[in-house]
Amino acid sequence: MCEGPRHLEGQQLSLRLLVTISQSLAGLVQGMLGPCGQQTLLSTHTGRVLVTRDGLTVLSSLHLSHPVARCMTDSLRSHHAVHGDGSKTFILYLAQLLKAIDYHVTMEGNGHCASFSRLKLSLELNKFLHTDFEQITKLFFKKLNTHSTGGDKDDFVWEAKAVMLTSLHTCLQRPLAEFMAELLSAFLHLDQQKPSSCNIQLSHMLQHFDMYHSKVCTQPQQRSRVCQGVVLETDLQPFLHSQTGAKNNSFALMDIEFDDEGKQRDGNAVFIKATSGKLTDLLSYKRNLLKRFLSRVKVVGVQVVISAETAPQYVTALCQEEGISLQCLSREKVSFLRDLTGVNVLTELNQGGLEKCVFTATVCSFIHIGNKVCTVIQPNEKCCVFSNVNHIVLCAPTEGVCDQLCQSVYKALKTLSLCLQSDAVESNSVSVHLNSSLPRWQEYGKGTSAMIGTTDSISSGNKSAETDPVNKSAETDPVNKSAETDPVNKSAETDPVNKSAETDPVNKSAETDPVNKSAETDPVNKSAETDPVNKSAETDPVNKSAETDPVDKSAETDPVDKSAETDPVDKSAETDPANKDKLPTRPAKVLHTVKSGGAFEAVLSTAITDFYASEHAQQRRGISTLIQKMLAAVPKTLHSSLSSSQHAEKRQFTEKWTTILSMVHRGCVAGLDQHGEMCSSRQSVRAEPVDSKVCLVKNVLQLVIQLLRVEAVVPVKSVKRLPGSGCGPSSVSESESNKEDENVTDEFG
Amino acid sequence: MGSRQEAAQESHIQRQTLDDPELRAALKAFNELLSTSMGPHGRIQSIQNGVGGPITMTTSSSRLLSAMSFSRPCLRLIVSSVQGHLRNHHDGGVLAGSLCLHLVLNAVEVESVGRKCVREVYEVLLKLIDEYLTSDDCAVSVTVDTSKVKVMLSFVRSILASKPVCGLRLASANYLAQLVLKAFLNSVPDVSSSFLTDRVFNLQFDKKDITSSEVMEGLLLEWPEKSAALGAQELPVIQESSKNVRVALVTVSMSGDAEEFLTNQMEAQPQVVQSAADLVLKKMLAFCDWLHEKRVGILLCQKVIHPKVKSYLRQKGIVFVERLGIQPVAYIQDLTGSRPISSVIVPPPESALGQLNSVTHRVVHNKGFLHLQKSNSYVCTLLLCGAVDEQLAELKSVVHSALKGLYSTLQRPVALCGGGCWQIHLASYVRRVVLEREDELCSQLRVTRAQLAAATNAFASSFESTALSLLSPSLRAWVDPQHCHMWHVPEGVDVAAETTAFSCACGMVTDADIDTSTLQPLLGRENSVWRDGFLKRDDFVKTGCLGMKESVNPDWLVLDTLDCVVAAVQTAAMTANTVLSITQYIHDVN
Repeated sequence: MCEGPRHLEGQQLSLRLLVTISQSLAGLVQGMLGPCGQQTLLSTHTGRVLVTRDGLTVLSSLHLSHPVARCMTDSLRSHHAVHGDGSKTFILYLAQLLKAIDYHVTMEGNGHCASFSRLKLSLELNKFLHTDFEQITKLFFKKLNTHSTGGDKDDFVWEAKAVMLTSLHTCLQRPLAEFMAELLSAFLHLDQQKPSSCNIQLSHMLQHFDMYHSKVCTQPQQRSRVCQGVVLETDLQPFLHSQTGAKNNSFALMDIEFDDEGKQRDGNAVFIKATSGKLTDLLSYKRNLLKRFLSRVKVVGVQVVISAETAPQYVTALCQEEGISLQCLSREKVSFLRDLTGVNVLTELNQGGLEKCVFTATVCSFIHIGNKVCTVIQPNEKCCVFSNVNHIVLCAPTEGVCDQLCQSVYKALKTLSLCLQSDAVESNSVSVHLNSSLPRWQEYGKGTSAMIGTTDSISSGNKSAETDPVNKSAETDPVNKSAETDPVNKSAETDPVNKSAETDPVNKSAETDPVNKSAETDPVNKSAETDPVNKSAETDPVNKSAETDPVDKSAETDPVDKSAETDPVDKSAETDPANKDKLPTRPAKVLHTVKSGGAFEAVLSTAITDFYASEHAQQRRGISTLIQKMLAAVPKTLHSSLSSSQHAEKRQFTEKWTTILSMVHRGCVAGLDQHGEMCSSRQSVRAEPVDSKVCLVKNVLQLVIQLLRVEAVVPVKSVKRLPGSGCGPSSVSESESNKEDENVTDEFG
Repeated sequence: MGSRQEAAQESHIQRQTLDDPELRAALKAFNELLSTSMGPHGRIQSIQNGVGGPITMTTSSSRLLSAMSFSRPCLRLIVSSVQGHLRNHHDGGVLAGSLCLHLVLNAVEVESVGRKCVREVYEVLLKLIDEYLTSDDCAVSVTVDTSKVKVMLSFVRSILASKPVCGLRLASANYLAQLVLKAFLNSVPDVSSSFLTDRVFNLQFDKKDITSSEVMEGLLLEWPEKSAALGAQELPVIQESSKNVRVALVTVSMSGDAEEFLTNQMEAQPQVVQSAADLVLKKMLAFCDWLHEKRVGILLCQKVIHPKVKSYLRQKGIVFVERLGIQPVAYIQDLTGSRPISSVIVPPPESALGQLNSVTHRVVHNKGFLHLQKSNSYVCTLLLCGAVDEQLAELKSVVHSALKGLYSTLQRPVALCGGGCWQIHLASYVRRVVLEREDELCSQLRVTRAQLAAATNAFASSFESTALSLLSPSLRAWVDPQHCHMWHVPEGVDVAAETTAFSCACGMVTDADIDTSTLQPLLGRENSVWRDGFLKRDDFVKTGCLGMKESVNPDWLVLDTLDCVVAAVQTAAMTANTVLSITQYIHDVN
């Protein structure tokens, strides 16, 4: 008879314990939030040292043993797998929400009712997430001036740069972040690309990021540059030096293990008769095989063979004799070239169809990357998926800084891809024959459980399309695409953006100004006659005279009647060169962004307030307080990090936050600038992907709902199997098996 | 690596680490180690591990850091940055490390200013310095006339003399500097060509005096074939009609185990098996016949040659060298123009063969060598001699640094005034510029004047500290107000008029150029009288690049490589900023 798992005493999972764990995790990451965040040094016992600001990297390195802490980090990991960012915000939200819940439970009930209160709260939160949150999200988007461009490329370029700059600034210093944003703009050809093709190319870049960049660890960052073409880490000068610029250089791809060629597969020995001719043939078999292959290659006109395997010296020598250059690159590079050009890869010397393994390219130049001479080629248009393929060289004085730079560039590109959505107005769909799967964010948008990690709702943000208010079908939600439409290969016929204009009265079409329209239909916005975005300086509460204090004035006077001669906040735009002349001219549509610095939290808080202002929702008002406290955590942390004063006071933040909320309530989206001062969204050049932020809030709520329902943590010991029983799983720990055998026999014998 | 049988252990976390007194003590100790290693008066560091391993005695950062192991992550970070700098420039490691540590320690000690503020100030000042050093207006940079041998010798001597382990006196330093310069000049091509190496092949001989070192044109390859006891012998080498000697360079094994043979299992009669082995040998002998047919005089093999093949080559009169190793192969290619032959089974193309003018047998320090020479080639051999292993190892490192410095100066003929002068000058420049642009910087960085002054002082005094590390213990540092160069004044001299110093530390400014009574002691310059009188002088910035005046004695010049210094300063400042931005350490024990 088998014994089941022994039940040991579980540990009661009190709310206080949850708060302690989450606060501990938050304490580790909150200092790293924002452009002025601190860094963490990770070291291993092997001597490797890494300096990072990435929340997930830091938390993963802790190897947490507590199950609840691991549960939190697993959930975070799942979110990060899709969105690539938001780890620190996730933990801060989680910690603050649990703290607020603890306070609420403590104030509401006494000790023995705590579990009931938790369950009740969990149910309330669940209800909030599945019913109210949808409506609140609609209100949120109505309030929010999401800037994404239509046909005006300048807006798209500017907004894309702002998104990348925001992401880069969280990891790099400001001058370097600005430099890298410009470089990435050139890397992506933003001024020459349509947003849809940019999106496709961006997905490919993220998937093959290692192939699109090189690192040089011995030069200053300012020497980072973009090369037009694909960089091959080999010097082809001796072979192609006279053909730079010629368009008909032929390259073939192969992945052959030369040592295995001619080897017998069956393991039987070959019996040789005593004829020297036969012996000579056998000994020269490999060479002859290679010669035959090379003659075929010459017939096709190939000049360079790119091999994924290191070739023996005799192979290289033979190739040279035949006038063919054999270059050995990495297998990943060969796969990348195959994906880019669509040609096949030779896997055997005897293989037919050699022509299908050949592509032509122009040799652009020979460049130095570090101490290596590399060749830059541009596959010809007929062979290449993309019309412009670029390569970025990232330079830094030290290896650690170079790795950081590389990570931050990847993050910036990923953030941009999350903000992009394909422009369905365009008639040309780019057909690709990539072997890549969809980018993760689009898979998430399908509402599938295709994410890394478990499908357990506690550790994933997975929601089916029916229940997820954000990931709806395109007819009702213009933000995300439906599971049926493939945003990569979008045809011109389906236009979820325009379709939504007919079916969704709340969100607007591509041509109309969503903010102006909202002014007519939104009863909440008092300044309904004016466009809050295009408000003149007279009506903007931020644009005050220089003599008045904007904080005090907003509390007493009607901002609509305020005349604005000077604007202390706008003044900073004149002196701050980064903010000069960087105002968008019209609302954007392709890029779904929100200004950073707490603007998202402010607008969402206001949307929650407005939603619960109506009578029917007042009974669930308690939840709104919890959520709003949660949302305030991030701008508060940002404020203390960004403020120049060494000890930014809590009172200062409370005042600023109240002002920001009131500004948003009046229709002006505002947040904190890089110095921790208030600024309107027009002055901010920082942008973040709004959909990711909304998903983040949802994921946190889902996790908290599950955690509130967990009562205890029970460790399970391994099951002991009796000899000859044939049932029961698992192995027995050796130290216990002999001792416990007798006990078990006594118990069941 | 964590065990699969055990769960991963939790990592150790340490917060607010720079406030930890133990870490500060460790940083100070490491700073002390590097600072005391700097310059010609540096103290030799002796490193031995705890279980009685070999002893390393050095002041060179590359040898010092590789011999030590660091347990603290902060120190490891700094060391990895310095090693990254050394990989590229091969010099300036001690400067980079010491400056970085001074910047960190000074920033930590400034309690009135937040670390974020200090970092921002450091960034701005680094940018100022970078622009100043690379501009034409830099008053501490020297135009190096590469056609003047004395100036170039001074430059090389400055680098060689900075390592006391080399044990160089004046005469030996001059001698070695001449050798290095000679080797460098031999290796510089007349026309732009692509080479695989730096064309200076190094050979070391221990238990010899340093003055036995020499430079030889061509390549010297160890050749034990003929006994060295009999001295240099006549070497009959097959020559072409033009008296040139053809060279074949083989980079595969000639012992009979070529990788191009079929690797299958075969069954055969014993005599067939023997004939299979003989067949391979026959192929190699056929290769030797081909070499003989092409009048190849010398065969150079990177790996091993079969004894029967060696015997056959001797019969044919072809000189051979085996077991060369990978290091000389690239030099041989540069010298002879040959391409590596990677198959001995079939004859290679004739274009793979190289050429030499002469091949002779030499005996150098009781060892037999083959001397390969070719006219108009840029490859030479530098024979370095040293009495002990440590001296030899240090010499090899410093000669490499000197050659790299020479190449760098050739590409950009600008050097910096060494001996601590550029550090003092930069510190004064930074203080001056900050004073002039105080309002602008305060508004840009959003700091108060006091905060800006404190952070600037931390930055500038770091440079001054590195300059002071170059001082001999019996000397004090004084500064001239016009050029802001460092002067070495004997201890005990209190009044400038009593000093007998006749030139600054770098030798560019002499007593003929300034009134030595205006010299001020470097330490104690915070007093307002000195500050007001000193910093208001607006002469020094506008002198531009110093030219070589008649009063300057090239024998006493001390110059530093500009590119190396700029890179070292950047590495130091960036690493310091990184360290200052770290608030927690997580140590993974798995």
